[in-house]
Parts: sequence; structure tokens; C-alpha cells
Amino acid sequence: MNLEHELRALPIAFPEEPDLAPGVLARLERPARRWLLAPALVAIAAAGALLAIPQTRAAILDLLRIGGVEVQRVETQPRAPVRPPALGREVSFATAQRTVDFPLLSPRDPFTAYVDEPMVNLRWKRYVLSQWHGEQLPFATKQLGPGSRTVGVSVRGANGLWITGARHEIIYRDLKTDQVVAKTRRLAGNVLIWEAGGITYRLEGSRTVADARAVARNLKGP
Amino acid sequence: MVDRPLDEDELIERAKRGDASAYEALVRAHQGIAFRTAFLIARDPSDAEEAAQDGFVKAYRALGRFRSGAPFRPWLLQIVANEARNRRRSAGRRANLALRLADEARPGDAVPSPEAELLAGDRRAELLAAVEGLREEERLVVSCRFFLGLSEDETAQTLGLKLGTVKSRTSRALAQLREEVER
Repeated sequence: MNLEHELRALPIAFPEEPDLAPGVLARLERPARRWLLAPALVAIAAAGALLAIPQTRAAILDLLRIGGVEVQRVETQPRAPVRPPALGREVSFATAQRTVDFPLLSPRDPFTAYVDEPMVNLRWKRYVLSQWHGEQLPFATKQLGPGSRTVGVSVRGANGLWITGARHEIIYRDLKTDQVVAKTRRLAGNVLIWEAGGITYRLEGSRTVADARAVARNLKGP
Repeated sequence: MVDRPLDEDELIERAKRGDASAYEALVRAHQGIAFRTAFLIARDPSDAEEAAQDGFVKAYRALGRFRSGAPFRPWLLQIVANEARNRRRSAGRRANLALRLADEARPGDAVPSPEAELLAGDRRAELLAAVEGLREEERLVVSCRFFLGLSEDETAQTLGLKLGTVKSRTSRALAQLREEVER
């Protein structure tokens, strides 16, 4: 065999290939006009958006509750303005820790911390972990459009919910202003939410529930 | 497959107009080679993943400058390779992960005799070690050409080299490898 053929035939052990698409898509700036063509998806495009949601905009089809998050299945999703993705103010982990009254979970890989009060967002690789004190947000809800699916799972020994399919946003009542606030910081489709000790955790960026649970299991913290 | 998928030029044109699902199809088509390219340069799986992801995001933003009809893959890989190089530079002297040989035989391979297998395994390990011992500039050309299966043109564009440089580095590297493993 000649040397070039031998080189080509070497079975190089590359690390397992990650799925990059969710992380890439989450970071693309999408032109606003696209969303006019797809009103059902407009809510998905909102990133760091704050808006008041009329309570009657969508009929609630069913209701699930996970920690500080109420998950409502609705007929149509509310419209939200298109903004560039934002996770909040970039800060050190120590600073992020000082903005909340509970010990934060963190990944073992290097990450960047952001504060978007009352949430702390940690970003690494293709993942974003959001953490907030659920009791501060009794009205925290997450609205799901048609086509999304939810599965109850256990996460770090707590009750969790795996949400796939259509994209969605978090909606909650801000207790300080009494405004209903909608946030869709990122565009990733699949999200794992769980609650432990009054704290709500939201992990996005995993394609599969197995990956999401493995990432959640490997987090450092209480 | 009965339905013909959109061809790459069509996907690129749609992505240029802001169609994220068209770009998603391009990401899925090229993420494997993008990740492996980044890994061969950065030598760290996390750095490679970040470099490939950043490369795809930058490529999307630069699509307006992409010449329609030109080959997309080497254009993308050049962006990814730059990201990987930047990470490698900032990683400083951190130990690089050496390339390893996959240990399992591929399905469909004939089962060789234990002696033949041992010899072939030794030979492969020796060859890989020789590649790892090449100078960086030659190792990258050899890796792109033979481990990633890129053409000479694609290798030149990915690594930002002239075609003649790729050819001369390849032949220099092959001569050295031959000397190492065939003496």
C-alpha cells in the first residue's frame, strides 16, 4: 500500500462530534421582516424582550406547574418585539453570586456569567443555564405554542420538565412593577426546567433529554 | 431519497436572505468536518466546539461577501480554522491532546490473523506518531489532506496558503514520513 493510502486509512479517533446547530441558530441575528411572514413564530424571535401581555390574548389549553414556573399551553403565542439576543450584564461569577440569595449551580467547563435580574445566566459551549429564586416569581410561566411537547423527567433528584418542538418564551409577573414580563433571550428549541428548594433552573442548548440531564447532573453546587 | 434536497447553492442564497432554516441545513451538512478541522488545529474538544460554533456564526454574518457559486466548504473551513488558531494561541502552553487511533475494527472489515493485526496496528501507530512528529505547518497540511480528506485546493484555502505551498509541504512531509516508517 502506498503511504498516501495508508494515511487516508488511519482510523483517527476524533472526539464525538457535537451538534452545533442549536447553539449557532441561537446566536444568529434574524431580520425582523421574516417574522411578519410567520406570526405564530414571532414570539420565538424575541430576545431579551420585555412587553406587557394582555391576559386574554390566548386561551389557555392546559396548565402544568414546575417550581416557580407555570407552563401554559396556549392556542397562539403572544407577539414580542425582535431584539438582539441578550443574556444580561456580563459579570464575574462572584458578582453574579452576590445578586442572589441562594448558592448558584455552575458547569465544570469555563463559562461566562450574566445577570439579568432576578435571573443569573451562565453560558458555556452551546448551553445556557438560568437560575432564579422561584418564590420571587410566583407567576413565572412558560407559554408553549402548538407543536411543542413536554415530558416530565427527574433532574438531580427533583421534578423537571423537558420541552421540545416549537420554541417558547418565559412569562412571569415582575413583583416590583406588577408588570407581566415576557423573556425569550435565546432561540434554542429544547429546554429542561427543574425546581429544587424554591429555586427554578432552566437549561437550554441540549438536543436530547439525555444530554440535558447529563449536563444538569454534572453541574457543581448544592 | 426520492425528494431531492435543496442544493447547496440554493441553501446559501436563502441563508443570505436571512432564512435561518436554510442556514441550519448548511450547519448540519458541514458541522462534522468543521469540528474535526477545528480539533486538528486546537487539539482540545471544547475549544474545537467553540471554534466551530463561532466559525458558523461569523460565516453567517459574512455570507454577504461570499461569492455565489464558489465552493462553500473551504470558505467556511477557513473561518473555522482561524477561530481554532486564535483559541490555540490563547491556550498558550497547555498540553495538546495527541491524536489517537480508534481501537475498534470497522464493521465489514475482514478479520485478519492476530499476527497480521498486531503488525498492522504497530505500523499504524508508528505512522501516526511520525505525523505527530512533523513540524506544525506540515502536520496541518497532512491532516487536512489525508485525515479530513480535503483536496489540495481546499487545504490551501482552509489554511490560508498558496496551492504551491500545500504541494511542497505535502511532498516534504511524505518524504519525511517515508523515511521514518520505512527505514
